[in-house]
Amino acid sequence: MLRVPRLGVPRLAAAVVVSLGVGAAPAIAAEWSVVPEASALTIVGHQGAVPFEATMDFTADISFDPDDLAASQVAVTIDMTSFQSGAADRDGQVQSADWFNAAAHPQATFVTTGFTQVGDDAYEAVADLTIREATLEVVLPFTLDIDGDTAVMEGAVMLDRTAFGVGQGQFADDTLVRHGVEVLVALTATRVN
Amino acid sequence: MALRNTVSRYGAVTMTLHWVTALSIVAMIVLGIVMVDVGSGTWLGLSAFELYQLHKSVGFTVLVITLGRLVWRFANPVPPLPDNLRRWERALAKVTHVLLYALLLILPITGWLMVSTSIFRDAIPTVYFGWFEIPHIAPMSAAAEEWLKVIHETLAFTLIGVLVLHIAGAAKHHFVLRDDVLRRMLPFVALRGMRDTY
Repeated sequence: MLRVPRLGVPRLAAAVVVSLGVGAAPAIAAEWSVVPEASALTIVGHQGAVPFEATMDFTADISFDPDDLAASQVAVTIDMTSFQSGAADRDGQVQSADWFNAAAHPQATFVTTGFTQVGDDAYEAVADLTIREATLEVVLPFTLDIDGDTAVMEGAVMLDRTAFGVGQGQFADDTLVRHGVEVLVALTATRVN
Repeated sequence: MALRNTVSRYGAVTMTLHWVTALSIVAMIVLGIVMVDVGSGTWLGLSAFELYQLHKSVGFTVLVITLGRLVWRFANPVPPLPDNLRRWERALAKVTHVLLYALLLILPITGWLMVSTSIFRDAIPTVYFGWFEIPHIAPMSAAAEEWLKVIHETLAFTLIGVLVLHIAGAAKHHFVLRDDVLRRMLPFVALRGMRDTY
């Protein structure tokens, strides 16, 4: 008979914490906290040739150290119900099943799997981006300017909305709403530890 | 008004291109200063993204107009400077004009190279006034972009300095020497004719 060690709740919790700690990356990069009023996630889309801009709310868990990219990780959660483009009919329609299907998928996630430095203050983040049912690997180039305990990051990536099933039925075509969507990220974050 | 230049005044083509360039340069300087500073805010209702697109579109316009102006200049007579200028004044006018043309070519080209080498080259295409996409002319290089940024900015401030000289020269001709040097670039304004005020 297998002998199960008896652990009280506090000891069990300690064992879990220890084993998780061992399992995670040994080095822990600096934690950063987003300053919402100085940060924005902006979507630039085109209806026909006419561009429109929308903002979306998000939260981010950021561990980032330019000197230890291997231990750095960023996880962003985007609130799909927060799409604001200055046109109420568009903002309403984007929530529908053909577009974000926000009732079924209220959140999108962006979780980095690696970072590469491509210049003095320039990096590329490789990440798994999940929108609706689809998870795809994307590369987000960004600049980062760290001044003391404040970091300013700017990034941009062009996404093909159809790769994520965003815009189905009559909107699967490129003519009404362009397939290419620019995603602009501007972050200001302060060091937590 | 004649389309072509004559020996006494500029024609409609030269004047139009000159003043469109002048307005464009003012717009470029204002947009350039505002867009790098606006962050996630807006200016006159325009976001940083829109300001950059506008700056790039006007910049390409300046590049094309400047090439056109040079062709037109060599195909037309250029009204000469008044005879009573000193040699250093002529030299200064010449240097100022050569610098202006050079900067009006080099600034858009360094801007174009910046956009082309940028790490955001694939994420943010340059679309000319929302009309068509302008291709990149160099491969991505964060290091090159950083250098180009410094060069572009330095040349932009150099241009502001040369413009001050250009405008000061025109003002001196107009208000102090009271000759036709500014008037011959102004549409709908009669020339004073040669006046012997010396």
